[in-house]
Order: sequence, then C-alpha cells, then structure tokens
Amino acid sequence: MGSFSNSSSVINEEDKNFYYATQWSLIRSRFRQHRLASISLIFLGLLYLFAIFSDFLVPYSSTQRFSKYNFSAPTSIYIYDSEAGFSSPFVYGQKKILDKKTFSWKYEPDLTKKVYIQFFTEGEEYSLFGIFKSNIHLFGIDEETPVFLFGSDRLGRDVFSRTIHGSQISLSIGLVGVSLSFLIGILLGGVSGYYGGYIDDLIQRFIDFMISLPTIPLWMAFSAVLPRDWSSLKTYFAITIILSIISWGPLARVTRGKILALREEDYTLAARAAGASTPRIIVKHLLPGFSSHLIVSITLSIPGMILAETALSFLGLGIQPPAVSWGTLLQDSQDLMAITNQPWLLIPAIFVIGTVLLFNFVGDGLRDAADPYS
Amino acid sequence: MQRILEVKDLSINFYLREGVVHALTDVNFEVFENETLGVIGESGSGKSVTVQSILGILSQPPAKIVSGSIRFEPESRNLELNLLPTYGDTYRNVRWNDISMIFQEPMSSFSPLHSIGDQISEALTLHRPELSETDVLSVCLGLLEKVGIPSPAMFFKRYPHEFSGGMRQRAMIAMALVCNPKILIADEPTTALDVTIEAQILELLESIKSEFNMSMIYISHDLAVIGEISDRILVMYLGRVVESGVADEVIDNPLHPYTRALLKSIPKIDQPIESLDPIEGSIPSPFEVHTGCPFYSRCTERLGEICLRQKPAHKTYNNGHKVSCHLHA
Amino acid sequence: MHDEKVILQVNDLKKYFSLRTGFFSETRYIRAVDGVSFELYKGETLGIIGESGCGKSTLGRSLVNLYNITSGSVLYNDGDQKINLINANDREKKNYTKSVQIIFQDPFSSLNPRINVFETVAEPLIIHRYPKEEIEQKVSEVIAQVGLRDEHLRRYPHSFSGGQRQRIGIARSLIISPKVIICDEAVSALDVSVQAQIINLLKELQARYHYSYIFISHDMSVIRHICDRIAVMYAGRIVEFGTKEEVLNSPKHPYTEALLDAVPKISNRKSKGKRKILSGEPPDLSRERIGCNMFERCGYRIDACQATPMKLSDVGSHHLTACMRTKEIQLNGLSIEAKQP
Repeated sequence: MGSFSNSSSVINEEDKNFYYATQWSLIRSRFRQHRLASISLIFLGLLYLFAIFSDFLVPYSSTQRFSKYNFSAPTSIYIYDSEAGFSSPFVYGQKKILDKKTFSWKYEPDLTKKVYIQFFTEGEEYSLFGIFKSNIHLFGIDEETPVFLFGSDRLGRDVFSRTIHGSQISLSIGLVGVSLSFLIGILLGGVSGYYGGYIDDLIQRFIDFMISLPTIPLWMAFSAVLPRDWSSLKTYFAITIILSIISWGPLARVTRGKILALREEDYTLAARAAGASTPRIIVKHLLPGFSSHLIVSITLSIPGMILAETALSFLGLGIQPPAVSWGTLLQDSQDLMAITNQPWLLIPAIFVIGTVLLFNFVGDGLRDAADPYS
Repeated sequence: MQRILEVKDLSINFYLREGVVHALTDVNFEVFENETLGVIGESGSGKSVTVQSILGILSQPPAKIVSGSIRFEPESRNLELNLLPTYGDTYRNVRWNDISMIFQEPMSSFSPLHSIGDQISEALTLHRPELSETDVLSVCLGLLEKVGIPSPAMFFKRYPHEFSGGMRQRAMIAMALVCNPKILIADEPTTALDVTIEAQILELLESIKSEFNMSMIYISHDLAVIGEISDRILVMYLGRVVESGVADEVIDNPLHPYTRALLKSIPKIDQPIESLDPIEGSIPSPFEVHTGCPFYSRCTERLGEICLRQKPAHKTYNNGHKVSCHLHA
Repeated sequence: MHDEKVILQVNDLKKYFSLRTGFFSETRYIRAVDGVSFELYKGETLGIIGESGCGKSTLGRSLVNLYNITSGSVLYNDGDQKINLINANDREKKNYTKSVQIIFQDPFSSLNPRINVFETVAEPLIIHRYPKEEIEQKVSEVIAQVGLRDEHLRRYPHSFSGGQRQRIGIARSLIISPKVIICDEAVSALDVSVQAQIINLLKELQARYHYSYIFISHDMSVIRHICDRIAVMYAGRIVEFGTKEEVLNSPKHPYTEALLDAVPKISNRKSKGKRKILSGEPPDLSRERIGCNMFERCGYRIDACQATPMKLSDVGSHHLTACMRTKEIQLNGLSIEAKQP
C-alpha cells in the first residue's frame, strides 16, 4: 500500500510549510497576498492607535476654546521664509479683518508674527487610559497663536483635536457594539441553528420582526427614553446597547446558516457517530468552522455600526455634547452656510468615509482568505 | 469518412495566483462525421478544458491557448476556431448552430426564472430569427417529444425546479438540438444521475445521434459508459492524450500502461470477479511540471530514465490506434 | 466467508422525516426508510444497493445512531454484549458506538479542515477517554494499517489527495476497534484509478480483523465485487435480498433486473437498444401507498400489484423478494461470459 512512494519522497521546505499549515496560518498567508486589504488593515491599525493616544497626539482638548478665533480656516504650516530660508515648521499669527463686502470676519496671516511649532511640548494635562497623568503633547504652540490643522469651529475649538478625540467614541462604538450584537447574535443564531424546529421558527420570525422595524424612529424612541442628565459615559453605553439590539439580527442569521451547514458536514456526523457530546461538537467542530466566517461578517458590520452612531449623533439623538464623536462634529455642518463658508467642518466626514471603506476592504480580503478551499 | 473537427497540438495553460497549470499539452485528435468520440479521463486530465476550448467558453484569463489549432470542418469551411474572437458573431453562430453542448448538472444550465419552454425557444429564435412564433413552438414541442418528455405541451410552461434530474437532462438535450448541430458535446451528462436514468439518457443520446446525423463527443470518467457509447476512444491523463483508437481496439488491446492499469483497476459487472489491481499513488498535483511522461510516477511498466526525462512521441499503428509511450517507440 | 453468527439484527426499521414547508402548513412525512429488516452475519459484507433517494444512506446513518429511529429495533450481539439500540442507556449507547462505525462518502467534507490528521484519527479515542499513551500508540498503528505514515499525522487535510483523505477517514472509523463498519458510498467520490486501492484496502482489513461490513452503494459493479450478500432497496424498502450469486444471476424482482440491465457494461459495446429500460422515476416518498412501490415503473405489473401490501417472501435458499408475481415471471440476471479480460 505504498501510496506515497513516489510523489512525496522528496518534500521541500515550502511544501512542508504548506502541509503543516493550520487553517489560521493559511488564512493569514492568503490575506497577506491581498494587497489592498493588507494596506487597509495597516491604516485601520493606525487610526485606532491615533484614537488610543489621541490626548498625546493633538495639541488641545476637545473643549478648549479660542474665543477670538471662531471659524478659523485651517492654519497653513510653513517651513520656508524668504528672510530666514528653511527652518523648522512655523505658523504665522492671524489677523481678524472684517470683509467690507460680505460683512463677515476673515482671517489673514500676520506675516510679522512668526511662531515656531514645538514638539513634545507641555500643554493641557490629560490622563492616558485614566492612569498615566501627563501634560506632554506631540506638538503645540505655547502662545496666544493657536494652530488649527483642520480649522476651528463656531466656538473656536480646534477641529483636528476634536476629530481625533471623536474617533475614540466613533471607532470604539463599532467594536463594542458589534461585540455586543455578536454575543446576542451568536447565542440566538446558534440555538436557532443547532436545535432547529419550533425554536428556530420562533427566533427567525423574531429576527424578521426586528429587521422590519423602521430604524430611525426606533432610534429616536430609544434615545428619547435616555435621561438627559446621564453622564456622557452612560449615554455612550446606552447608545451602544441600542445599536446592538437593533443590529444583531443579520449576525444571528449568518450564525444560524453556518451552523445549519456545518451540522450536516460529514465530519460533524463522524464525530457524532463516534459518540461525541453536543458541547464537544460545538467547541471542536462547529465554532472553529465558522469563526473565520464570523470574523468576516463582523468586520463587515462594524462600518454599519459606525455609520449608525454618526447618523444618530448627527441627528442630535446620540452622543451628547460635551462628549465628541464624528457624528456630533458633523452636526456643526448641518446647514448650507457652514458648507459654503466653513468647508473644513466636513473633514470628520472624510474620516467616516475613510474608515468605512477601510473596514470594507479588510472585510473583503478576509472573506477571500477565509475559505482557502473555495 | 469526413473529418468534422480537428484539434492539433493544442496546449492550454492556466495562469493562477498559485502558479501555472499546464491544463493541456499537445493535444491532437479529430472527430469524424457521424461518430461518437468518447473521451475518458480522471480529474485533472483536461477533458473538460478540451471541450470548453472547442466551444470557446474557457475563461481567458486565467486560461490561455499557448499553441495549436482547432479547426471546424477542415475540409470544407475550415474555420479556425482558436483564432476567432470568442464573443464575436462567427463564434456565436458556430456555438449552438454547429456545435452544442450538454452539461453534467442540468439544473445549473437552466435559468430558474424562466420556463423550460421559454428557454428552449429562446435558443432557437436567437439562432434562427427568421422563424415565426408558431414555427418555433412546433419545432420545440417536436424536440421535446423526441427526447422522450411525456406531454410536451404541459412541460413547456413549467420551470426547471419542477423536474427531476433525468427530465431536466432530457430538456437540456432538446435545447442542444434546436439548431440541428453537427457536433454534440456531452460533458459527463449522466454522472449526476442514477443508473436506471443513466441508461435512459444513454439510449436517448444514441438514438438522436443517428436521427440527427450528428457527431458526438462524449466525456466521462466511467470507462464502462465510454466503452458502451463510443466508436472511438481518447484516453487522457494530466492534460495529454496518451492513447486513442477504435473502441474495440482500445478496450480489448490497450497499448498505454495507463489504459491497461485503468482497465485492470475497475470492477467490471460483466466479467468474472477477480481481485482488483489498483493504480498505486494518486494523481499528481496540477502544478507539477513533467518533463517526461506524466504517468511516470505511477507506471508499473516504466523503462527508467527515458520515461522520466523525455516526452514520449506519438506512435500510430496502421489501424489508426495511436499511443504515446516509450514502450512503443 | 462468514460463520452463522448474527452480529446485527434489524427489525422493521422505520425512519420518517417530518417535512414542514411553512409555519402554518401541515406536517408531511418523508418515509425514507419504511420497514426494513435484515440480519448481518459476523465477518460478512452485506451490500445495500439502490438509487439516490431510496433510503440506503438514511438506513446506514440510523444504524450508527445519527438519526433517531422512528420505529423498529436494532439488536447488536457480538457474543460478549447484547445491546438494543432503541432502549439503550447512555453506557450501552457508548458501547454500541464503539462497536458500530461508519465511513463516509465524501473524503473532502468528512475531514474537519481545521484539525490535523492525528487529532482527526484520535478523536473517537479522546471522546471515550482513553489514556494518552494508548491513544498515541493506537493512532500510529491504525495509520500504518491504512497505508499512511507517521509523518502524515501532523499535516492538515488540505495537503492530501482524495484517496489519502479516504484512508484517513477509514483510520478514524477503525481506531476504536469496531466490529461492524458501515461504508456509506465509501468509494463513490474517488477517482476511478484510486477506487480500487480503497476497495482492496477494505478487503484486506476485513481479512485481517474480521470486520462485518454493510456496504452501501449505488454502483452494482462495486457491490458485486466486494459483497457476500446483497439487499436491493427501492423507495425506502428492501425489494430483494439474497446471496450475491442468487441476486445477480437469477434476480427475482423486476427492479433488480432493470438495475442489472442498466449498468453500463464495458463488453456491451454496440449492443445498444436491446436493453429493458426502466421508464419513469422513483415515487414520491411522502405519499402513503398500499401496494408495490414500483408499480408505475414496472413492466410486469398487473392490477393486483397496486392493492396487495408489499411483503418480502422467501423463494428458496434464503432468497427474498417483494414481488408478488415472482413465480409467474421470468427475469434475466447477469450472464457472464467465461471470457477472461
């Protein structure tokens, strides 16, 4: 029965890696070949890093106001000056002038006032992760002249700082919300798929019902119930829960479908024929079988969550000021005036679009990688 | 006999992310008028790629015809199919008008959204726009009756899912016949069917072949089916034709070690039971490159170095029995 | 070939599947296996042949307790222990599982792609809590028995061909030293050149370890090659049952005759058009019927066939048939020429 006598007598190193590769390492190597997805993953990682270290990265806190500089356009940063030649980055001070035609305030660079940007400078105190107290910021200007990379808003707050601060809520709500709805989804979907019958029918019809509810009125109803005097942390969690209660349905469907398919796989039957108990089958054969697919569908449902939070907050139903998220930032750009006169207020939208696209690219790559046998 | 199709030195590669697959290497064969050519091969033998390239339905890329030619009616029209643009009008006319095909899974070859009758008559109107609606209907009903569908008029308005595999395969055959093709390609048409249904379909193919004066290319992995239906047989292994000839010759007097081994390894219903002589090992990975004979690693009659290093030439015996093996150099 | 000890006795086994098409629609039943009885002798190979949907796979899976049997009984008796699968307690069920194993058809879906060969093969032992050293020793024994090597154990299924995967599947079934092995289309999904390897492997293993096989297949040539006795199933029932020679050479049921006639024969070249082709298709299993389940397709039918309940009766030398007209009709079996290939 020497069935291998010829073909595999010489195994080279590369083959060996392939032979001994686990499912996960196969997925990883397939994912790496997917260039767009890999790059997107790196960018996503950077975004999350920014969110985590936002206090350090940005010069100001989300509430710091420069009342003299409301609606200031993004500050230009210079490294060249006709007199001094090249130097470290600096900005010019700003003069506020009244435009005689439109009777609106405009800012113009005050070429006489040159302020250098300082790195690792001391600024407002913050606490990283709530533990490490520090007042060192990546960059800043410790004078009257502020630096607004993305301009400033109606109250003279730095849009750049607020966008990065806001990413904390916007990016985390996707993760927290999805893991919550994932928990509900996997539980109900799993029960529905594994037991089938009337339980399955009941859960499926309930999901039908949940999906058929019009989302925006439901959000409004839920948020109306939230007490206004709750702290922003409490509201944050409440919003997350609301979002996940509404969005677990599709995840439960995916789980159920996958379980139904895996339950009938011959290898599951083989384990049952060998006398395996139900928990063993679930842990050993079913869960690993669809974990890769779940990761894909989770990745693809995070953007939905982020968009939902943005939409809610944009409508003023979600995160309440003074907490910032991309949605609350976009609230400032609700009117046409803002868009024509202060287009920089839309910069947070670019972040929303970018993040959603990145997640979709990563999800696409994962989906292609998850099934090496398809 | 007139040749109706000639495939010469056809080589096709698939360029995949994992590497290059040499799906076909120097494939040579012809199909004569009114004959059934049986193509036998296991998975990876390139039998499906061969017929897909004839019909111009290969996805290119990843596939690419590296060399060789496919000529339709080489003695009269001499259409070089491999040079025609696959989406062009000429090729579209050749497809279905001259060469049509039936597939292994008739369910996926019909659209579930349209009734079977609509799909068959659409195939007809596409290729024969001059026919009137009543003509189309009568032709289709006639065909459905011919392929053994009881009460065709009722069948006409039904949808594919309402029928069993056997019935769908019959409908597929009717659809392939609408334009009176000169060649019918059957790609494992009975593999998904039960034996009793398989026998029905084989019988049907046999009778319509003579009625419509067609040639048939019948592809299968089942030597017994091929033996039953073919006039001539083409044995393929890993993208190469290793042996070809008249059916009786190939089965009773196989020349290539692969054909011999295959015949010895299958249980046969109509011969005394003896122990099976399996072919050892398994089919090599499609990515493997063979400088010599692709069957070398599993061959029990191999000669040594020469089989491993050198591509065997084709040897033709006077009765048209061809073999590609160093034993017959 | 076998001694006359019955190791598995199946009596009037029924497995119905309920079929609900919607929330409010009424439940219909698919009678997948509708009253099947047979006994399996120690060391023999019993072939169950039939077309798709005849219930042969459902029967096989019911016998390894993958389905809850609707009614009937399955008695296992290997001399040391007697187990009645229907009212077995947990301990007995475990012992039954150890004694009756199954080999699946599809070598691709029968191995979990996320688990390496060692864990796959060892799983039954892990489930039955064998000590670690014994597991390792047994795995390496059984993997050699099926023609694989120790170095394959750390690999994952994707690195194996279909035939090798089927060997792994066989190893998994053998490791717990069962007495009865149900081969559910065990070679059907394999390439023809590999089929013979697996058939020979199964035969060798039987010769060495005296397994009793129930070999389920749709392929008459394979059944003929490997089995001692044959049960022909049609639409959920056994319609003919007997030794291989009896059933193949002198069939007593029109279905068996048609089946034998339909099998493509390599030496049958150019003798087309002479076959008795079975027209039509198998019946709807959700409809209750009284008479013969092959009535619509049978060339020998008379009106009485439709009204008389189906019953297997012995026509001599333990050859059973469900055809009530068997004495009146002349059926043809295989006529094997004494020609050597």
